[in-house]
Amino acid sequence: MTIDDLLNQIQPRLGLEAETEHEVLEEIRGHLEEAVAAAKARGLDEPQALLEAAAAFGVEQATAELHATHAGRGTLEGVAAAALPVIFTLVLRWLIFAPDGTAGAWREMLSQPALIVIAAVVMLVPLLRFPRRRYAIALWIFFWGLSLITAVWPTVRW
Amino acid sequence: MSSLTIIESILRDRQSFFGEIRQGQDLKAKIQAMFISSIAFLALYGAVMGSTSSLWQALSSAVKLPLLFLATLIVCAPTLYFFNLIFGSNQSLSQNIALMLTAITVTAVVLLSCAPIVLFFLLTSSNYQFFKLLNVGVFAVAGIIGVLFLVQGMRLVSASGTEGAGARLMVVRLWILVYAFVGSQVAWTLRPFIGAPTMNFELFRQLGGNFYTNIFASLGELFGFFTVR
Repeated sequence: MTIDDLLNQIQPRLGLEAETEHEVLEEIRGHLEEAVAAAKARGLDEPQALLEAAAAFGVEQATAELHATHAGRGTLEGVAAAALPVIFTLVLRWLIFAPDGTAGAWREMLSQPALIVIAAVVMLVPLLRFPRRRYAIALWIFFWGLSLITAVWPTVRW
Repeated sequence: MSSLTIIESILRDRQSFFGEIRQGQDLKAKIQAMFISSIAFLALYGAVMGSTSSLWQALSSAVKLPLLFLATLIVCAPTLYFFNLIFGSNQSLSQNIALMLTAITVTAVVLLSCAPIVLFFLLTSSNYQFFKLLNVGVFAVAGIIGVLFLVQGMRLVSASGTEGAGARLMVVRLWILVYAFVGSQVAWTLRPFIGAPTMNFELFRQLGGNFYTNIFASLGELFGFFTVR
């Protein structure tokens, strides 16, 4: 048995996105290689060292724990990428526009730049916490730009 | 089971997910997680729909859209349960509700995925009839994907090899038609969700007319056959 054989046993049980799965498997490979090297240093041969490393790693339990830790992260990123820019654009929209849909509040907002700064900071913090933040930020900038253009360009109706 | 983990289970590993429903495993946790995620996603989509009009309309639609799906579920759930029972099903009402909530959750996820597109048209188009029909289209696609999951789930959960399985599958298909009709009528009763630009904000409009004549009227106006008043 080799490290690759062991990783092939673990892979189908992880049930994760391909990208996350690759990262997790590479992490496991690193741990196993370290354990094998340590066992070899103690005088064990290659197959025995690998068996000891696999037993110490605990394939069943470790796979279950890794699945529990990483499951749902891909969905979380997907939800964040779709939902956050939409939520933030709606917040901006209702900062610009009065509750009845008229653009009356637009001038008031200009006189309160602190409000804009606070809103921007508060909204940026959660975005920066997501690994695939670039997509969410790009979409957010696109919608905010579009929102501002349509708000200040009087010929374009919202 | 968290709301996001359950979405990943439904979308990525549905065979195991339906298998767990069949065995009645963690039904309460599953129902709770699907309930929370679908309410959140539907509320967000509702807010986008209502944002064409006013903040009050956005807030109202954010509340009414989850209500629409849950009201339809409550109205239609007993019918599916008892008809399945008549044709030899051994599923509990909780299992039926879990399957129906699976369909609603999938519909909600598809709606959420379409929210940026709808928002884009909200920002760049001022045609009310077009926006209304765009939403009808998005709901139709999301609804179809949702009920496909329901049919698949029913097939896996209700022991397809047993007696009456064919009849039960037919019951599900007929039930989907009933569900669509009830859902469209509940939507019509809870309207407006978008809010006509010529009208002031109303939480509910007066009863009268129906969903289908309104859609035909919108199509007529969009293609220039006549003007809706």
